[in-house]
Amino acid sequence: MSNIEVLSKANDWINAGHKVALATVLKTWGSAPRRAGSQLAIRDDGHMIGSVSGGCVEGDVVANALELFDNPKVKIIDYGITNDTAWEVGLACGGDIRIRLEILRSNG
Amino acid sequence: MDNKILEEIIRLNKDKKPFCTVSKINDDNVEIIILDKKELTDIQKLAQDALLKDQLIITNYKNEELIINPFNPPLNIIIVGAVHISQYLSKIAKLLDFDVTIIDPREAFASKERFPDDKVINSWPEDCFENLNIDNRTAIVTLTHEPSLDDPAITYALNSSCFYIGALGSKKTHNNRIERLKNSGFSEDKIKRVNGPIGLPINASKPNEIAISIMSEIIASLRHHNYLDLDMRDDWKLR
Repeated sequence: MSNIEVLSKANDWINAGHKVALATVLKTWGSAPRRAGSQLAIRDDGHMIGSVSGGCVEGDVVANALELFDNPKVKIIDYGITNDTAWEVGLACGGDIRIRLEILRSNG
Repeated sequence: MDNKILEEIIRLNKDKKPFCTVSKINDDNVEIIILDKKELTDIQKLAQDALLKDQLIITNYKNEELIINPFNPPLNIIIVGAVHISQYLSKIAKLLDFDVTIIDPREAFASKERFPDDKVINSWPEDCFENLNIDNRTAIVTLTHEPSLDDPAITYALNSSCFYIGALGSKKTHNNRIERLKNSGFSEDKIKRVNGPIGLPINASKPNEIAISIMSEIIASLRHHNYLDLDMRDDWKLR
């Protein structure tokens, strides 16, 4: 699954009238399954395509995206073993990742 | 990012153009950077760097933290020999987002029935390689172990910037190949670029298993820029 496939699907969703969020891996430290630049698109009903980790944090990223739809802005989220949320979300890989979340805009 | 930019990204990728998206870290406006001129601007140089690394970079530019995300065109694999292994190798390569080209002048091998979904070129390597776009995102694999087919392809590959060259054949076949390449003027160092016997040693025996072993070696070459110098590779090959 390349980023292009993720973005193509995101574009299809927008054209079908959905709101769509895009998560991008900005940085990874230590062992992390997806490289910086990897993307995940999230639809307003919770459907997703692509990935930003090996499945460790996608659920939390989707939850953040769903909140962001009502208040569109860029949000930076850190996940890792040094972060309190790590115990809840859990990065089994033992690495740290920084994710940037944004809402894609539809200009008609 | 808005959907106009999204559509531009999809269009550029369809045209197989390399480009980057650039945005400030806390701002959702996105600009697309294309390397269209010989004289690159500072921001284009950063984009070029990201494209070469094939990885997102975050950089400080004019006191702003910028995110530069590269979109390279698909990787290419050129497979010489429309053999049984190629049927699997093609499928696996496509899973890994490679564009696949298969070359074989033998029509019985390169038939539509055997390769219904593939780009198959029905000609000799020396007649078609010149017209192929071979760059540093191209892997070249020869699978016929027939010198008249494999050697011209390997010769083109060695004179190109492709990131991977692999040739099927036993150690004995490969040693004979090395001798022929030496006789045609290639240095030992240059010949080392040819991975042979092809593939990582996972004791693959069926065509689909061999295809996995080949693709694994291609990934190792792609992700380790010094793959050819890795001790690991020599250890593996000795087993």
